[in-house]
Amino acid sequence: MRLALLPILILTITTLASAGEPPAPSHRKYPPPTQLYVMNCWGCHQSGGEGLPGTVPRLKDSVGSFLRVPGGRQYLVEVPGVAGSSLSNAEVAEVLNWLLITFSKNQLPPDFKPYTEAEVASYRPHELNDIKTVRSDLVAKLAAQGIAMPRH
Amino acid sequence: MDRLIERLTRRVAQRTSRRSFLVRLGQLAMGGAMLPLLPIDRVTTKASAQTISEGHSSGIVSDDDTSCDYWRYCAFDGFLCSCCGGSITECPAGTVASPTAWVGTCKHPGDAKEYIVAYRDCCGQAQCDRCMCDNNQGEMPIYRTQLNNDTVWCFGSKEMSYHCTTAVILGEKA
Repeated sequence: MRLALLPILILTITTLASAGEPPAPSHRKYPPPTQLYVMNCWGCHQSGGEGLPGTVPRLKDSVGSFLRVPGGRQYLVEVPGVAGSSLSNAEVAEVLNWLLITFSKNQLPPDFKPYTEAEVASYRPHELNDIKTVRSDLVAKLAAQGIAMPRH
Repeated sequence: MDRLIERLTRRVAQRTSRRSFLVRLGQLAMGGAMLPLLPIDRVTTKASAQTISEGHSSGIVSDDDTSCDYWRYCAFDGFLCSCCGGSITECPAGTVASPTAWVGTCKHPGDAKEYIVAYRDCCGQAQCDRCMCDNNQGEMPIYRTQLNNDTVWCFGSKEMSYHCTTAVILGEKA
């Protein structure tokens, strides 16, 4: 092996050997919405939106369902990880739209309307004090429609 | 006795940040005097003399990944796995990589570009106690949980005992 390639090979191997990391050479660049997710959400929600059962909510094949019931759009903005983030309202709209389409396209309502900055701004000041109850109510409404949500 | 100590250790690890635990331990051991807890002296300039006790980056760039001055450690709070039997990207044997990670950005001195770095804790053993670094570039207080590096990021793992932290590059920041 040429010595010049050795550092690149070592970097690639060590990167891939780390459990849970997205495969990437060190100079990989992410498109803007993806970068927002990587820097603000990925660390807990995982690269494929899988979450961690019992600890971090699952997004994959799931989160889009919330938009099918009243209160669901608001809920996704008001959850602590979103509302309490340092993202601007425009960035919240951008990353929410990205992850809804990327991880849960099949669960979105047929008339899905992407979030706008203004809509996020209208929800965000509202404090979600009892997240467990709010989520349970939304899940119950979805169950009435025959849509099962992962346990959390 | 082992089980008792293990339970106490876990309880402490779950309820305290790494830094506050070390501070309190130091105070108890030295009768209130704050002395360096680690054997590694990171003073490289007069300006960095105040950073002895917790291995803050002196601002001097190093290419040594066992040094707190290594560029990728700009937001590193914890023990370097590269000093603890692992490496900058891999956990030591006997520990497991946490499924969660805190994500920061650091500037590479060679190309002046910013890179996205995942700081992932290795969990399941008592803390390593070697190469403690406390750098906080871009880190936020605890009310911005996903951007805080003081808490133990072993949640999601079966074990909450913090041992050391790795630093993996995810990509270049756009």
